[in-house]
Amino acid sequence: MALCLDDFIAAYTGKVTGAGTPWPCSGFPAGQCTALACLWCENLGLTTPCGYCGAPDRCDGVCWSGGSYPGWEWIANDPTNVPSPGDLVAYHKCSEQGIGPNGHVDIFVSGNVDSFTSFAQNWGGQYAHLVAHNYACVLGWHHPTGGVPGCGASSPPASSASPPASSTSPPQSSASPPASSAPTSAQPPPAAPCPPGYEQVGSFCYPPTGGPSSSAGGALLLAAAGLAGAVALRADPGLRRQIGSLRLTRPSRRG
Amino acid sequence: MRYHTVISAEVPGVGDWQDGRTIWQAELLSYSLHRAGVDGPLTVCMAGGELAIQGAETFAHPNYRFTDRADYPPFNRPMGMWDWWQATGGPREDVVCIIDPDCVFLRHVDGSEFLPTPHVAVAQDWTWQWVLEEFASCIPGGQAVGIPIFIRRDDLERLLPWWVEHTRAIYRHNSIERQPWISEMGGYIVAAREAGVDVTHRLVDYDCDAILHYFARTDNATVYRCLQGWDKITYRPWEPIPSLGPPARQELAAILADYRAYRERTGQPMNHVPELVDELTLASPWGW
Repeated sequence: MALCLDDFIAAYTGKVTGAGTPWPCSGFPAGQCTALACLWCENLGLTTPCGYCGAPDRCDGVCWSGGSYPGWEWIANDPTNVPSPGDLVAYHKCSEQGIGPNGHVDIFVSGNVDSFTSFAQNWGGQYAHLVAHNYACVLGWHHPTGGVPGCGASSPPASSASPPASSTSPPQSSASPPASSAPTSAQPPPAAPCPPGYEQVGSFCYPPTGGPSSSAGGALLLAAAGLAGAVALRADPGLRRQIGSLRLTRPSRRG
Repeated sequence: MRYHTVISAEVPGVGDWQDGRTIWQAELLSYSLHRAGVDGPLTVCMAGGELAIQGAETFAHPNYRFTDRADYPPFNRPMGMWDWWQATGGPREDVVCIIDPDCVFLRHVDGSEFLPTPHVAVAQDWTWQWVLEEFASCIPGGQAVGIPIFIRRDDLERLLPWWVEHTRAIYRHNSIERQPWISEMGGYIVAAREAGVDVTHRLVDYDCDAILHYFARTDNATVYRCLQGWDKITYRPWEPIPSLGPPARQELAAILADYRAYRERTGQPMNHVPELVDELTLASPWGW
């Protein structure tokens, strides 16, 4: 049974996928972007929309582009369109973002015409994780014409809120969190949806750098509000406090 | 009682401030660990390539300092350890001791001395670092802790991937704006309180007695006093350290003298590259 995108992210976040790992896929090298993209294709029951570069032994990220692949619709990037969750985004060589001649491919998660979040491997680390992007280096994307399995109402939001499974755990096949990360009575408040614009990482909400701080409906906020210091808010508004300039010169206790 | 000690180090010469200081520090640490008769292995997670440290198991991993388009060397600690864990399945020992390269074992430290229990690690009290203390105080259950950390293997396995994610998030969002270089420490503190991790800490003080963290001359007055002014920033390896002052400094001098003698006796040149550890050491913004 195919995983929905949220469950796929939960299953692979923090893992290294590819040849020689517990999660190989069609021989794509471990830690490369293509290995994770291949697993997504495999999960959807589709072949990899790869080979545009014309050589079967050269299926770099940049070759995950172009049309005529069964089950996929190729959509070229333009200033007005936005991928759908689960689309495979292809990137060209792009020195300003550090993309080499092999290009890059990853999985669209959410976003708008200006920026988006993708699930990627080998972007700031050779393991699967969520990455923030703009469209400057995007060629286009492959849309699965058969759609992407939807998650149930009880599934967590599509974010890094899903705890990475332990290294010995197999990919999860349901919306249930890994057993090793099941909450206990001593846990902090369960993750709640973050305010718009905030990034949820596990049980915590991170506001945009320099953005305003506000209540997070039960989740802890770690805010950098452009003030003199970091701002942190507890879930209970009565416990809000600021780490600010008033204490910047406080000496060490051991001093 | 056995435990597995792990540190993160970085091969020299690849980028700014990669001057090899963590290499000579790792060598000295490894020697001190064996000299003290510590029961258990030392693993060095080596960022940026293969470089052996005598007496240690070295695990090479990519250099993660440039993760997220940053230039932040401490990314290498949680990310390198996570690579190590995934590649090897983690340590065989039930207890892991996490320290920095700029530590030495001043004496034998048995695992039973700082024995962690399930969900309760044993860690250095870092409340003296006031920015970290304030950061931790705003997290439900957060504690201003840092290395050395003795933690149970299964606790660390749950915590480690979150350590990676929260370190990246804190750095990305500049959540510790005043001292961003401690984002990795903040990442550990948040990860320990992550749902499903639930690790608290018994606070201890290892400095100047069991495990000396000779990290910076001005950051911690206790360490500064017990070393009587000696500090790594101005130290040029492997010059002798005058044996004087408090017992901790005398012991550090003895460890270094013994290490030099051992290398001479066994016909091994010292491994570091002195010219790499010169002016750059003085100029480092990271203080290590």
